[in-house]
Amino acid sequence: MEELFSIATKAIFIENILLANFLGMCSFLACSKKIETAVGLGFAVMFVLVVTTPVNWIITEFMLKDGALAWLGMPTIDLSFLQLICYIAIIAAMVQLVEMILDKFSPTLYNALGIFLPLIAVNCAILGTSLFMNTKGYGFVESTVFGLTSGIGWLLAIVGMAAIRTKLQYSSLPPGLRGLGITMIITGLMAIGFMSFIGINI
Amino acid sequence: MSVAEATAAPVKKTELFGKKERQIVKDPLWDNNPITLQVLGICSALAVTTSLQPTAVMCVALTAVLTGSNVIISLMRNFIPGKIRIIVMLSVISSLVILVDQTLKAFAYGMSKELSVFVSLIITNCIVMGRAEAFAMANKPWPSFLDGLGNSLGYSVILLMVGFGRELLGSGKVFGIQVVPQALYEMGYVDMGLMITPPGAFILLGFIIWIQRETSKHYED
Amino acid sequence: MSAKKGAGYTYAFAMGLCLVCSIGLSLAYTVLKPMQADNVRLDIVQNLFSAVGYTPDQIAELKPAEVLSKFESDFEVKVLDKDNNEADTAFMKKELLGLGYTEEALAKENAASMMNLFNRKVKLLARKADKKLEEYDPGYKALYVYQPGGTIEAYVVPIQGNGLWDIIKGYIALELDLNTVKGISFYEHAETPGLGARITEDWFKQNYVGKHILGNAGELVSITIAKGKVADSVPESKHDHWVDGISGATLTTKGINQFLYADLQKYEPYFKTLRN
Repeated sequence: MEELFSIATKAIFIENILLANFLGMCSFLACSKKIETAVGLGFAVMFVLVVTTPVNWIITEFMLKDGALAWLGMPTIDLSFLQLICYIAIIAAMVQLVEMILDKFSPTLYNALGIFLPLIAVNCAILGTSLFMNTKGYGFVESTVFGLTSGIGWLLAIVGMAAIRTKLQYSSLPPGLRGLGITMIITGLMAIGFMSFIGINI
Repeated sequence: MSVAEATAAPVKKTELFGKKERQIVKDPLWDNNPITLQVLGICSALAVTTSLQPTAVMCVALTAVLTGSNVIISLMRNFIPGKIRIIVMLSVISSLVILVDQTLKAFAYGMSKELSVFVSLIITNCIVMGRAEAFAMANKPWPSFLDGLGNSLGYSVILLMVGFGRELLGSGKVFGIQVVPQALYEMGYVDMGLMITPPGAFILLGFIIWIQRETSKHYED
Repeated sequence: MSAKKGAGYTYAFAMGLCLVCSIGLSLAYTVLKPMQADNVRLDIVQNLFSAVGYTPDQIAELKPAEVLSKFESDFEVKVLDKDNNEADTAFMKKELLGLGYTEEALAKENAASMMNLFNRKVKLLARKADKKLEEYDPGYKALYVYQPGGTIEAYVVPIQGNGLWDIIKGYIALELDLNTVKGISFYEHAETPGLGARITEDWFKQNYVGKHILGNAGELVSITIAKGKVADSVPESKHDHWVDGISGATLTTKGINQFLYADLQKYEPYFKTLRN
């Protein structure tokens, strides 16, 4: 339990997937204009992360790792060079699946999120989380918690950014800096803030 | 989809280098730059730009993947079932990326070591996916090829600018060659550590976007 | 997008695409693999030389074939088990054959490469022998003895562990006192270019040279990478065990600190006997 808590705090604050590792930047910048869309996208990313991280763990453990095919009687095979393509295929399939399920059962939510869903497939935060899960050697439960809390961290960052950008509408900026330009600079400042968390041991 | 409508206008006639074709290549170079205006491909832009050399290799690798995927997707555009198009595009893109990665490992091992995981992460570079969805799905192979070329060059321009700024300010070098004279260091000049870290890239990119938007007169409200 | 087509078409299309992609990739993989393997092997050997003090220029001067033959003549590889006895290659071979490897495939392996294979499969072998990993694992490890012209000049310990993205592998060379660092090098890593990947830069590796892995009482202290400059952050008395860090690469360097200590600890009992 204690360890899971430590993984969670790390993933949300100290090693925030977006602000400390800079993954999932594109959709973060493109969709943080309004709080509502930011929250919607944040939850979509979180959901996909919760599903894909454990699934990728299973795939790695029982198919890709060196000797993982032992249960099929083929212990000499090492498929780890297929890791990346398998992960990305799982992610794309999951995103497509989520899209179809939402379309069928909750059209309102689908309409709210619909346009962001295909973009999630290429959100490197998702792939990054799976890769990190692999290097850190987590087990199944840890991977699930890691996926969930990485998602929460991402959600937190994008909602925070959206809040800042809403306030920013009232400030007078040079026209060329409005929008993306100032967002970049603010992200830089936010990242400097989060970098001070790095190195804390829990 | 969202990225689609903004930029794609199907090209009707296919000339080899007509006005429209030239426009397709020229537009994304500056006026409709994929990074600064379409907000695509920023993740990788930040990660590899601490010095110019990996930046340049990254640009070449991306150009190969983007033009390749645009052409292939465009060739298949009438056969891809809509329901599974995301996964189809991603399979094509990731196959190409793995191919580039393997080729680098075989023929330019030093380079591939330098870029390591970031060649593979081209898969998740949204420029590739974005252009496939926005342009290649609706256009013939030749214009798609040009679109891929134009966008990768546009990406390269910004990337090289960021790489130049970060290497010069962060370590006083250009392409690994010391340009800030030793005398300056002796007078108390210090390299700007911030530029090496990712926040430095954000801030530099923010300023480049500002300049880019002032010159191309593209303002957001 | 094209007109609506049945589910059968979708399945057929997906299957077709998978087939084309996988055949293409497998082909490329098979064709390019020998070249990649050569590159990797050459790189490993070059890094061994770099660890024992060859400068990048000196290494660049040597042709690939020369480096490899020089490796054969200058290095001796010792494979030890956890009690620091010479490893039992016959045992390794027997176990691997039991796993399904062919006699032919194993005939090509030397002691060191067989050990690598064995260590990769050790979890599986333990499960097969129905023993706990700790009980089963003979803890095989390699030690490279650098002896150009017959006299021993350095001992090289392979080190590896997790960095930020993936495993980092490298070598640390120790002088004959098994305390002073002769050199260090890293060959396999997937760290961020310009940040974590700077561990392969010469200035960083040079920092390690001349530092000591043992404390005053002869206990293992290892060498730690500081956050920023050593001069600013570490008390004078400890400078012997600290090296300058790389800004923006905290997680990479943290990983290196951990695995360098852990790996040196594995060899420490053996080194103790050598020192006396």
